[in-house]
Amino acid sequence: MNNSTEYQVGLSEEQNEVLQEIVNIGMGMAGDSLARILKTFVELSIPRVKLVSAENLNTEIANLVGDKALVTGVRQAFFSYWRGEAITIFDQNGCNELAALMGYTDNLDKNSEVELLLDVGNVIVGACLNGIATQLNVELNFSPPSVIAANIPIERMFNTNKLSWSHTLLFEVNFGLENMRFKSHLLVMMSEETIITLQNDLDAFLEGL
Amino acid sequence: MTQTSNSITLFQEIVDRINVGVFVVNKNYEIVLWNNYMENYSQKKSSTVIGQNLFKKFPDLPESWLTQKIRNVFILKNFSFTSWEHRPYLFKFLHNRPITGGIDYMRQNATFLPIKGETDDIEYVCITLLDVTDTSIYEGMLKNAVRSLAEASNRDGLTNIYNRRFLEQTMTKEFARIKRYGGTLSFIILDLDHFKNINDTYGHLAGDEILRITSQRINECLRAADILARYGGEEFAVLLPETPLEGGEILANRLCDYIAARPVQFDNFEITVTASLGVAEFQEDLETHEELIGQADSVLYKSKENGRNQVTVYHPHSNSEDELLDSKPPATEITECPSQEKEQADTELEDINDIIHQTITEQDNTEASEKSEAEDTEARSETDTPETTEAAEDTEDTEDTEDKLNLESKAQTAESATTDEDNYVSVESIAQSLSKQEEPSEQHHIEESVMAPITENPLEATMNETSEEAVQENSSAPEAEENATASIETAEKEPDVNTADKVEITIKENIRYVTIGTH
Repeated sequence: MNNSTEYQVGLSEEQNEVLQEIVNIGMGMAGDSLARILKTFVELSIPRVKLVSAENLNTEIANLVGDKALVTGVRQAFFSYWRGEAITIFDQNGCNELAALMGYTDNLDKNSEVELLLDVGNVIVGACLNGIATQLNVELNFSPPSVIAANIPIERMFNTNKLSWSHTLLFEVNFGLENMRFKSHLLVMMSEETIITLQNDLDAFLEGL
Repeated sequence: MTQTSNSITLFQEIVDRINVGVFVVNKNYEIVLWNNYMENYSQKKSSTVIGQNLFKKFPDLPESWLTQKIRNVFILKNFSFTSWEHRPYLFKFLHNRPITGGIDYMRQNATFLPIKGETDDIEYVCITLLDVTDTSIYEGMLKNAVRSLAEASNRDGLTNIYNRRFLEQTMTKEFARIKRYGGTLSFIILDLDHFKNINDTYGHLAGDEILRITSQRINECLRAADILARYGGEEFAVLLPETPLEGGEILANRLCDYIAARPVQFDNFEITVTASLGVAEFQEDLETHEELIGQADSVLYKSKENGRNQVTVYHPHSNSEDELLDSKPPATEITECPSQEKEQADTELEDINDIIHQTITEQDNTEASEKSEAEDTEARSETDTPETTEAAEDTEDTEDTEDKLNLESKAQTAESATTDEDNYVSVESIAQSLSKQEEPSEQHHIEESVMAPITENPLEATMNETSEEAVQENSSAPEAEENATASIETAEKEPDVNTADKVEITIKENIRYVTIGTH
């Protein structure tokens, strides 16, 4: 991927504005879906969209997520029209509260705890990305979720030396449940090629307005 | 998507015949499609399940969880997944490794797909099942291999105890822990005496056997939390978490005696093995674990210089002469006693040591404790006369405050007999002065009074100690408290109150070391 640095990454002001709006609406829809599933009120932050270089990835993410003791990350790929990966960050609070809401009736052992995190990660990723994709008439496929790191400091989530790209478009939003300790962050990272595709989609969307 | 009618027939045929489980349910969880694969493995024809409720047909399915899972797909219009790693299977299907598999049911990965109806709304959920039995078996093998490799890389090939790499790793972690959370940590280094001579005299095979047997013997004296490692050629190291220096010293002396008392059989030879030991304790000002090893090593050399087969303790804030005072007197000093007394002194020493270490092993290793108990009984039966046995039984019956007073007054005598200024008394020095100054019949009283709460009902004693510890953290075990009270009472009769206080501390700490093993 020698030419990866030659991409003229970066959104125009107009593109940026409309993307932020689309992401806001998409996340709102996601929050609504989650609330229906969990039958509880979902608190949602204002989503942040940012172009991030590979070497700054860990610091940027640490800034977005904040200083948490130890976190677990659930990773899921999305593919077909857009390509990228979404990572849901959990701190270890509130698993048990969530378990009941997700239909886990037995006592949570280590296995079902991981399964629960995968399940919740999948729900959050699917809700948010589909919320964005449907507005742009895009259909997405998802890989099964998997744990990429368990109980580590957030700065160690990525090995930035091994990243094969120079820039990514990063979306961040965080969720909480009313009256519960559960909190999680969603990080969506688009590949460089997808940034170009997305720019075209945004232009088409603007023309259609 | 536009399909010719021909390709639709093809699609139907493929979905039916594909080597993947495919079935579809509607919003009422009624089965609307059931492919050939599902028919084969569930042994239920599609004609008998179509239109039926999924959970009624398959009551083994985890209904509450699966209902929610499928409902989420309808609501979110989104994919969902399960993996064998967390949920081995949905359906209890037989797998294709009935002979070589070694697992109960087919391992399954499932994908849940939202399917639109004619109204563009999600009306169905399609579930595909992938047989990942092979993958799970290979992954299991891989995990086992990694685990045994990790284990092997921590072990010494000859003795199968931990190697130096693992020891230093553990010490680094322990240092980090203790610096952050506090606590105590002692370290013993043990070097076999004249090992080169043994190799030269009996051959290297004998040397190897001695290393193996010695590591077993050391292990027999340790608690589960202690880390024994082969440090070098004939050097062993023992890391004692949550153990103060006094406990480390007691154990070191015990190891020294235990090894020396048990010659190693090799071919037709009986080879006497002795060891020199150095003991050091973690201090706040130590930066790295290497410094602690260095301190233990420096006093190990003192043990060697002073004639081997002995223990030297490193005291950080005293000069080297004090250190020497503390080391166990070399064998030559004991021979100063008349021969009969010497024998008693030895028995006494071994017994008291045994009592302490027996409790340790009892809590951690029943096998080892049975063994040492047996040895104890043997040792006692050799020395017990019928008279003293009777006396011992009386002691057990009357719940013996009197005998404890006896013990304390003796311990006091012991304390006043020793002149060093350290604020603890080693059990050995008590035992030695006892054997010099007390009547033999009373010695057995002491033995039994210390022994009684432990050996009468070992299990109960252990349990009491455990619960006691749970209630009052860091406090000493019941016997020690009684002893402490007794010692104060005695102190009132005797003029030297300070000495009594010292004894109290010692006994408490020694017994505390004993009870630590219940963790």
